[in-house]
Amino acid sequence: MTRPNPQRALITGASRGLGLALATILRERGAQVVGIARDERRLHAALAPIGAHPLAADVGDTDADALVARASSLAGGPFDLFVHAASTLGPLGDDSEDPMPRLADVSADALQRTFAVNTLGPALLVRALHRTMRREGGTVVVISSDAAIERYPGWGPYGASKTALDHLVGVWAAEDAALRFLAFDPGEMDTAMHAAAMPTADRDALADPGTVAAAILARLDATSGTRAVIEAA
Amino acid sequence: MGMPIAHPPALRPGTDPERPLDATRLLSVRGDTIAHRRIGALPAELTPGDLLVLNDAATLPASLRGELRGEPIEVRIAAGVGPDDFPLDMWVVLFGAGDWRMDTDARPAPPPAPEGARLRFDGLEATVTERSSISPRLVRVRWSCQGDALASALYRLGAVVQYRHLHSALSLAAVQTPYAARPWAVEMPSTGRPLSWRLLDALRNHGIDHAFLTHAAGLSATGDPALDRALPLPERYEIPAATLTTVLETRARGGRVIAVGTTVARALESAALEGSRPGAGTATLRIGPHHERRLVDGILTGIHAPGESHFELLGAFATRQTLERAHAAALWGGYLAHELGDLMLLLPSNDGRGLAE
Ligand SMILES: NC(=O)c1ccc[n+]([C@@H]2O[C@H](COP(=O)([O-])OP(=O)(O)OC[C@H]3O[C@@H](n4cnc5c(N)ncnc54)[C@H](OP(=O)(O)O)[C@@H]3O)[C@@H](O)[C@H]2O)c1
Repeated sequence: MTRPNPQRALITGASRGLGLALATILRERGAQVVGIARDERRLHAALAPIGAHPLAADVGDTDADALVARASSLAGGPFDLFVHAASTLGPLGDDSEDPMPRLADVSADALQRTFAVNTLGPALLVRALHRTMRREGGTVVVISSDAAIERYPGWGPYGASKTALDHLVGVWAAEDAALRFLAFDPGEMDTAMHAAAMPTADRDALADPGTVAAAILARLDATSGTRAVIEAA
Repeated sequence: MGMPIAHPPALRPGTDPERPLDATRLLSVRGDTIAHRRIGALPAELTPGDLLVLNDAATLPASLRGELRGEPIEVRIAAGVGPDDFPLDMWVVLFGAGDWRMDTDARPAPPPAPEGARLRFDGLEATVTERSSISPRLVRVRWSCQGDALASALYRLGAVVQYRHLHSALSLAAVQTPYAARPWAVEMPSTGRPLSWRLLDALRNHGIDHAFLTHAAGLSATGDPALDRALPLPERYEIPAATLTTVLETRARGGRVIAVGTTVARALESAALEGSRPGAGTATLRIGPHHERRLVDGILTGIHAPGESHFELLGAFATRQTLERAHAAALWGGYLAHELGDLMLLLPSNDGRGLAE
């Protein structure tokens, strides 16, 4: 079954990278878009040109029910698409070539914070959202990573938090057939996050987030199962 | 041991926000047939082709503690929010010191709030710009901010409007229906609270569809007799075009339109008076026994007692005699009243469109 274009989309991590690219395409297709990120200035500056509604919040530290109520008020009704693209790498180490921290060096606070943003935050947002999304036959998308599957040194907290999120997506799908739940591994993209994690990478080999965003939206209906990999790079 | 009682006690209120939704009882009143059911029987109590209309307003944290002339006060938003995004001006009701656990009679009156008076909250202010002729406690205020900033302040400072008959304070999550979306209501549109998605799916499988509108439900009581008599105040609503079409098509096919809660009845009947156009409007209509229904055929509602304004409204759906019989059945049957209580389905007759035709 092909669904019509989303009418109202809520996107976390919408001030840059993949989240902003998704917001931009959805706006071009006429959807109302509410975008979430922490840095209010940057969020406003990014969303004003495309006419999306900014809503500054930290997904790792927020009252999800209040945030969702506020967001649907801005959008003028319930959402039929939610994309969780915000993410944290967790605190980085001081090796300028390989800043991703080894598990032996990770503090409890750092672990907690990584799971708060990458797993708990979206879990609570989906719980708050799913009830109103149901009536529109909505779609919930989370952005995962190959680090959720592979065991890369340095990517322990980040990867584990993404694995946990993938798992939740699978269980949501098993519990609620009225909505669609999908996790996408976007592949390597040329974004601020990539630069922070791998400062020495060859940027020419990285995908443009706009290309990845278009591929994700094209595959919303075409994807079977609950996890898919985008190969744009 | 107590003495034998000749009269049943008054309706008891529901007090447990954790009560399983399935445990909600349903008093089914169809014409003059009264039956005792549970909410899960709703599909069997309706007919394929009927339509439920639901109010999807989410409930705001509409009660703020602050001070006026150095004295503690409580401020409650009076009439919901509506399509303007957290506007600068709102009507609010003032309460004196103390809290919801106190009898409203025992609660001290708020200090006088003439035009220009400043209400102060932590990081938020409001200036009184108008006093209502209904009661000096109903005032129009201008907030120190609007939109995003006001919404964040309300969610940071505000609590849900509480009810004296409860044992502990209700959380924001406890006063949302399963389909609550836009935060417009200052009190929960509570009839929909037990309508889980599981039940809505079951209804749909029986050919009983549902549609949504948004109605900014206002305060249900203030403890000020003059003000309480004037309730409900004018309330904003918005009816999506698709909902209105479904309502009209349902009736054209001979199905019945069932309002879930009095707010839905008020919104639809108000829209009917304005030519049944979709979009935003303001409900000023007071529905009662003499109201001639135009769009709503039946109602699902809480358990109400004679004398309440909601009971008056039900007069548009059944005779006084039927309503009193239903009330007696609820009383003797131990039904629970109020926001966390049981429900009553009121249909004008057993089948088809009913008495109206
Ligand atoms: N880039 C890659 O190669 C790659 C590879 C695999 C997976 N991914 C995944 O793809 C997604 C998008 O990443 P990206 O590369 O586009 O990242 P990005 O360009 O760094 O953008 C991240 C966005 O998330 C927001 N954000 C971060 N923490 C937040 C928080 N706690 N609360 C709210 N918003 C927050 C950021 O704004 P603020 O900082 O202002 O909050 C920003 O808008 C992420 O889930 C990432 O894990 C990326």
